[in-house]
Amino acid sequence: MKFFFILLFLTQFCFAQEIDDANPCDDPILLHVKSNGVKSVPLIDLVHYYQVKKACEKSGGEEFIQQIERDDLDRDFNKSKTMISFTSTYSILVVAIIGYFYFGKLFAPPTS
Amino acid sequence: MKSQIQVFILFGVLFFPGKIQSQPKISFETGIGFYEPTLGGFDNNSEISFPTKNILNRNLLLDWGIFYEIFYNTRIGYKSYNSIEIGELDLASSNSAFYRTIRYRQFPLETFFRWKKRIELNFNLAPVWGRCRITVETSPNDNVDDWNSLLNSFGDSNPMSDMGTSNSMISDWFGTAGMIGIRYYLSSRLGLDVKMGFLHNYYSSDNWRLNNQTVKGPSMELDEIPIFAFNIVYGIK
Repeated sequence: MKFFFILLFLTQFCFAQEIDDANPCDDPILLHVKSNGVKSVPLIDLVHYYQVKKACEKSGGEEFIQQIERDDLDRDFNKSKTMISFTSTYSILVVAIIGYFYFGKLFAPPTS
Repeated sequence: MKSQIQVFILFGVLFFPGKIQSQPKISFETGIGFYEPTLGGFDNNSEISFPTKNILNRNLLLDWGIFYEIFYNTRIGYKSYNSIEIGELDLASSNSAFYRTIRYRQFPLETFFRWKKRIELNFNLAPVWGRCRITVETSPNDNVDDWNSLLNSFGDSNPMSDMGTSNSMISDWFGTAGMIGIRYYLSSRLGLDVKMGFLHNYYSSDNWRLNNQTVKGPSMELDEIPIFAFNIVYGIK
């Protein structure tokens, strides 16, 4: 029985040692960011994310981190690269109003 | 009852991941703006000399804003442009501290699209709630005596020799604004934004308030002003 408890105790130390040596690039927060984007990280976890990101870069994961950032930019680009219906109409309206304003400023004779 | 709970859990499991992926984006921005109003009541005042006008108290606007992406390519938000002037006035009985702020509070509806992977074009129109506040710190005669009598009642002996008190006159007005901007994303969260547009204010010098009385304020031409702004944008979420 004593032997069993000593073995169990030492086994826990072994596991603890194994966790310390774990690759920071395997942290769940990086996997979450990889699939959902950097902006999906809650503010409360942001410091932890930056710590893990730095640790991952130091341990040779620069390419992995750069890929995450590239994917995030790609994701944002794909979401907002086209305008349809209301957004395009609204944008044209804004351009027309501001264009009219500056055209008036440049070419209209002064009122007084 | 038990089956209802199971259905509820099932729906939660099915719909919750969808909410994680399509969560709203909130961004905060701060920066500076430039415009050129005509503040006639201050600059052409023959009776009182206001602080000398310069680019900081006439043309510079300090701004900040917060935006919320309500839909693909559409944001709503709050944006505040602030013009500040601090100085001293040589009034009839004394020299007084003078503060003047003009705030252009905007509630923009903005649409945007990514032209390139890192470059975004944005377009916004906004109603404006403008507010100008003029604060003058004066020193009424009875102020020192009244405070000294109160402080003496606590055991002190006429500690105050000079005191000031401040009152503000305020005017609110409605206006409109429109801006076109180009934004460069340094990363997916951080961007630099340059905007140009116009600011139109329906300001009247007759609608000022001081101590619940309507008074006449300075004449200012705040209509049809071109405006330029430079901002740093940070995506909070």
